[in-house]
Amino acid sequence: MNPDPDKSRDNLRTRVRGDTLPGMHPADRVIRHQRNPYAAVPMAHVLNWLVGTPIATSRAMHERLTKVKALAVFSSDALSSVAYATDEILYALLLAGPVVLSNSMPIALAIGALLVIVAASYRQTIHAYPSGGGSYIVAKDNLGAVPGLTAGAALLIDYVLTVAVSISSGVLAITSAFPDLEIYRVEMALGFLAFITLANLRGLRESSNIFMLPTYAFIIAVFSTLAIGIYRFYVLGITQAAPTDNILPTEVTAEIGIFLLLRAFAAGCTALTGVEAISNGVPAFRPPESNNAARTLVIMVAMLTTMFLGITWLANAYHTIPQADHESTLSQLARTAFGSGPAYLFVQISTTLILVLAANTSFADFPRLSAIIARDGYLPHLFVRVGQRLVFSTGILVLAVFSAVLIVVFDASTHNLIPLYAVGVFLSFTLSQAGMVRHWWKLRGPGWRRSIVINGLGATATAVVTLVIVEAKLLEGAWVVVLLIPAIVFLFLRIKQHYVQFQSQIALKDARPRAVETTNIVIVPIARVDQATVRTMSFARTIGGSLTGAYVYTDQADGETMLKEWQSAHIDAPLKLIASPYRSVVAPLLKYIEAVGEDNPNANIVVVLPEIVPKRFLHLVLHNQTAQLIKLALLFQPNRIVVSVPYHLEA
Amino acid sequence: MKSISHVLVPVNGKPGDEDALQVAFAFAKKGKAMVTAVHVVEVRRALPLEAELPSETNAGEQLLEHVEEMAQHYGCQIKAELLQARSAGVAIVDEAFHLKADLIIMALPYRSRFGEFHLGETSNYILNHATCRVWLVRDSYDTATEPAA
Repeated sequence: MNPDPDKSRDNLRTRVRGDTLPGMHPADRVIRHQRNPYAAVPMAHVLNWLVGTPIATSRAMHERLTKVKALAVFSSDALSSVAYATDEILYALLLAGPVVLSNSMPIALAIGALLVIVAASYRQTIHAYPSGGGSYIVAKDNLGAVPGLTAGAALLIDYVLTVAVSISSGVLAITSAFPDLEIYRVEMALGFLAFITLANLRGLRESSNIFMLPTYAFIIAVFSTLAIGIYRFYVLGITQAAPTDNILPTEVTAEIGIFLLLRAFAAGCTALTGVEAISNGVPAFRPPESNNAARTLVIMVAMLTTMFLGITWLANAYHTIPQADHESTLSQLARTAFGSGPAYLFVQISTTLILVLAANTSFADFPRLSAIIARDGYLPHLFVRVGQRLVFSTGILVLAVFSAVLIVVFDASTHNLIPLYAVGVFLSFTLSQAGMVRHWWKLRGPGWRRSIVINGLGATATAVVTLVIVEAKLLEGAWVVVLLIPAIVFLFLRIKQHYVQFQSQIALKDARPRAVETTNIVIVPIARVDQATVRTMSFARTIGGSLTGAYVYTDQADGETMLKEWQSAHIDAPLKLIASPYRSVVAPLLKYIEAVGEDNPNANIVVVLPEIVPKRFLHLVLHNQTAQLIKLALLFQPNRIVVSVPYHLEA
Repeated sequence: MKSISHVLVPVNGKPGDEDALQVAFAFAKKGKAMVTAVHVVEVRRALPLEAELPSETNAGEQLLEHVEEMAQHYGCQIKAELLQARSAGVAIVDEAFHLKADLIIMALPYRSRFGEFHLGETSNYILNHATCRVWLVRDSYDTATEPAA
């Protein structure tokens, strides 16, 4: 399992025992291999308990997802949208009165067609870019860095919003059933967020095991509702939904026109959110990755389209009217199909769960997308690092932190968060489709004209949707996202600029590094004369160059006492006493180091600090504060080298 | 009988290991005890103790990962250790002592030498020197496949 010989060498010799037990020869020794590379990390046992024991890199393939599990992980966001997409169309049409609700079916069919076009485009993306990245990669490769980063920023923002919205909607479902819990909704949302974060930190396979059941339960619930609903319509001749307590709105506030139809179309396009998820996560699939991902996408879109069109058709057939803040269309259809018994409850519970778990898709994709962007140098390299459970832990934690901030700031209110939502997704769709048009134009392989037409149509449709959504939601809060996207793109570009500058400065310009003739001036700041000081002085002497101890005193007597102690310890180096009339330790010391540096402009000033390492982790706070301040102050000064010499306490 | 809170199970990849592990998991689940599985890579005298033995180490890692998966399947918490020593018996006794294990449960293949049942060097050493209790899970006679040691 460990083919890397260097790694096995590191693992060896972590503990050699020499104790003698009865029957044991004194020369018998046992070497314990370090199986857990995180064992040396402080509080490793707590970390292991929370996120599980580390998984070896060689097990990465075992952590990959089968199509069944991947469908659950990557489709929960997309599938959950069928729980409210039909309602969104009906709400928009309701402005012109209940009589125009029958227009929902043609609109749903248009959305279904757009869904197929977008999915066809992403299917091609999956094969063209098997390393994942979706819209970001397509737009970057075909339209340039800025459009790519715009798509990336838009998606990252939307993933954060998806987490906040889906968890808040889950909490809303609970507080609707138990109104007394309303005052704890932020705490509950943060609790859910912590649970999903931990489940994802435990690894892809484990999180897919946890979240698989609710996703498939929802699929079964919706298809059962559709099957029974269609049976009751055709066989039993039922054409009315089960009655609700609400009064039907009859007031007409707008005329049916192209703008209203466009708004209804744009509102229903929430059914498309989450479609891009699979294309971002291709490397999470078992080989052949692209084929498996493409098949999973086809299955997901087939189910999504069937469920969405089925619900909209059934809503038309039963003449249901959405009851805002009271009962969703799916709930009305389920109640018509099953009555108010356990089957209806199953539909409702599975709907609530899928709404919460839509957040999980973001947890699968945000870390992957941020890792791909970081690999290109537009985000800190930390995002690329894979954690102890073979997931991009930094991305997961960053997503959790930003989502938590949104939940707290917006008071876990879906109503406050929704206006910010969906702008990013449609912007990324548009850029991705436009990128694919350019892709086909560049390649001009067989069937390129057909592909360009499909992607061009998709790009135009999603661009229209983006504009309609921005127009409809701009003043309600979408302006935040509209401003945030360019701000994040600017940040990406600045990060890249820094890395480029860093590379040009640090790269070896010649084949061989040049040896630079310099001298060392070694300064050892001390607080007292003890074993740690003596040990540090012994080490400092091995560095070479001139060696001086430095002590900052606040009154003359203190300085004289220290000098006597220094001399009586027979340390073979002078001690520089630095007066501190204002009792500060760091500032006078830095001034002294600066003066030495000015007198010796070509010398390396090496500051060697004794550091006490207590046996208990928590005792760290009791030591070394001054040493840390000195280190921090010297960090930004050129030609200063800081060395720590640890002194390990035994108790 | 003193309560048992920590069970050590030496494994070497032989078929009997699974029986020993199953006994340990069942016992640990019932008594809420902790299980540690140990595999020892034995180093020949011709090599230094610290010698790198990648194929043996990798095989040991694979074995312990399989044991961890088994534990997960049984819903049992487990720690797995890979040791390197001259003699497996010495390492197991030493590990049990240092981990303060109360019980060693180990598989014992059925084998004979000169027509007599033969305990084997490692089992013999552990039975002689372990400071804790030792349970042996012996293979059934007809399924024994081990050649004489």
